[in-house]
Amino acid sequence: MISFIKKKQYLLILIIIVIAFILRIYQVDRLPPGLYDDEVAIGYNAYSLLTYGKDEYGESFPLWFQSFGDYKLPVYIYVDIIPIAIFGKNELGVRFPSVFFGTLTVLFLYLFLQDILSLEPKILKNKLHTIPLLSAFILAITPWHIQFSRGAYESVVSVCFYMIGCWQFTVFYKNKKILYLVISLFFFTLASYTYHSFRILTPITILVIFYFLFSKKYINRKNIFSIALYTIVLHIPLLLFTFGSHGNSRFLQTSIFTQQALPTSTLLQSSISDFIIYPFIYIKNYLSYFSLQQLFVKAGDNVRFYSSSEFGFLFRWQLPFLIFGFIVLLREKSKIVKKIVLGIIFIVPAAVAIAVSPNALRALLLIIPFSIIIAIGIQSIVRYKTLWVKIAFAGIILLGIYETALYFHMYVSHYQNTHRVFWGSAQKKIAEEATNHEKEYYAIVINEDFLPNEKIHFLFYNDKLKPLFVNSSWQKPQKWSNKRILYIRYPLKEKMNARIKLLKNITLDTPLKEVVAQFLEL
Amino acid sequence: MSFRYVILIFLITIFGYLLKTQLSCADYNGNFHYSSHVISFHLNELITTENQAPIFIVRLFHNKITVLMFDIFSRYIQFFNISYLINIIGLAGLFGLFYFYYSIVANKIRGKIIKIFAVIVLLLPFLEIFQLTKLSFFLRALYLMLPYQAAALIGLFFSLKEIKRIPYGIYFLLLILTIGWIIVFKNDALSFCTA
Repeated sequence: MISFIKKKQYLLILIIIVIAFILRIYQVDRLPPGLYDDEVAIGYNAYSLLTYGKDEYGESFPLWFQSFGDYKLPVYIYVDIIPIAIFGKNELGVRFPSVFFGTLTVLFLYLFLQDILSLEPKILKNKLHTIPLLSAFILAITPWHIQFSRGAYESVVSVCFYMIGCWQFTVFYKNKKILYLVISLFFFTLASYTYHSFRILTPITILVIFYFLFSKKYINRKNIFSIALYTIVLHIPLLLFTFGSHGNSRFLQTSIFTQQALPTSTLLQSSISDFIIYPFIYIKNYLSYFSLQQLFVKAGDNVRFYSSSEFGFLFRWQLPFLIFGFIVLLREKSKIVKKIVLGIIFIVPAAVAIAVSPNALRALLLIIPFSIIIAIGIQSIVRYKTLWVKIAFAGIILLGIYETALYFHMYVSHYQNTHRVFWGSAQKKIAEEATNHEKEYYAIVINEDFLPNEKIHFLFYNDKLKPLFVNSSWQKPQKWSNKRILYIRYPLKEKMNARIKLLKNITLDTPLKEVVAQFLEL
Repeated sequence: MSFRYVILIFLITIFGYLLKTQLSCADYNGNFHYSSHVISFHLNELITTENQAPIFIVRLFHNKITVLMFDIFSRYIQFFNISYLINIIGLAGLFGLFYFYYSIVANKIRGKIIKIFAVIVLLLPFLEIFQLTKLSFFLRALYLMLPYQAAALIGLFFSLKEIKRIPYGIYFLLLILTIGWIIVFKNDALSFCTA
């Protein structure tokens, strides 16, 4: 078996990549059901750049995208121009970068681990030789990564760039060729231009790299200064952005200092108590990333992200392997793997705990060390010769196959009914129905009060349609008194006067047929 | 008196306070207890949200055994969730409990009795999940908290003995954080029980 794995490494990794790709691309145009606000904003900005060379606000090829005021980072949007050009302005076009880079992450994790194991002592190398393949396989099938790779999430692309950076750094460590270090730092920097949490994670990683280069005197001082200068130059736009007013906006939207309610009725009630309370909130947020409930039972931070209430970030069957793998890793006399895996595990929550936690998206990089640890756990248990361990292992694997199949069944069969309301299928339907009625009416008016961000959905699905966005206090103007107006609003229970005609209710395609909007004729 | 014992005495005092806080409750909340109604309701919910799957698939994935296993797993895992443990053993105890199990699996603690005790701690939650005893909350809280606290103490004691590289200052910091946590998140301790 071992020699088979050694001989067929490349074939096996190819199979794993194909599996990863299928799990990410299968029905991605309709599962998750509809594009949510950020996805639509990404897609429309990419389309707008492709067609007009400007973003939705008319700015030519910007470095930061104002979007909803959250100032989106540029990489995903620019990358998305290609799939939008190939597949069109639709779900597949918007989500394809995630699918593609999510699949690539599996390959780069494998390459990274292959290279890093070659640096370990021979005994350990032989002991852990299947870890690259196993880790890649675990990453390929784990809900945490699949779920995000099927939506337009910048974090997925960032994780891929981060893994390329890690891999290239390992290659540099082996070959001592500066070019690999340059490539590695480029990809680390690219990760921080892709997703917000990497604006904290990447500098920490780069500082660790420079500490290593300095302390080990791995390359000469002159080269270190050139490399440092190169890294600073790469970061200048990002630094200017981060310390500018726009760069703060995302921080203010998510940070614990502005968003997280302080615990009440504490023994500390004075104004200086905040200084004491915040470190504890930070620790609490930090620890929340290791909550077994969140990891294995119920990913409760955001209902939209997970396949169903039945699953957490990881599969339940992975728990014994995670525990065992962690203990094995702590005991192992490893030179590098241990430091890197534990380093990522402790640094990632430290970087993201400053925001309201837990948030599986911001901490997506954690899936990498978790996959490695689970793989170590599986391999270590397989090596046991005791009969009862073998029986227990076989039992867990059988349950694992069942649970994995159940996850995919829940995703394909239930998710569209239970979670459709959290995605943008309602907004899509509203935009499509409005397009169908366009010619019958003088104007289309949309009450935004209960249909927020509807504007970007209309731009995405039909940017030729120019509806008027108003609030609830809007009155039909006198000059339109003889014109037919299509008025779209959130379904309200209020009584309608005789001059208002209910055209239709827009319902979700779920068994409950929830009404999400009303089309009225004024 | 050795420094190790000073830390342990501090920790025992903290554990005493945490125990006293928990004992002011009336019972554990419903999330900890198995209920056949919840199972039936959940199973029904799963079947109704099914999207035109063949009947054998529905039976394969949505049956009482699967729902029961998932339900018990989720209730069991609560007893080892950080947010729960921190209220009965504190931050320092969390480290102690982790080190206790680490030492057992890594064969650093070899005694048979202690291994049996470790297994008992893992099995105790089932008594509460299935409400196997008809004892008062006071007694149930005692047998559900004291073994955890004992395991945490043993773990911390071993870590003080074993890990020479960790300066005692770190342990003191851990104790200060534990006390700070209790003060700041005082109300969290009661979120797992009914008043």
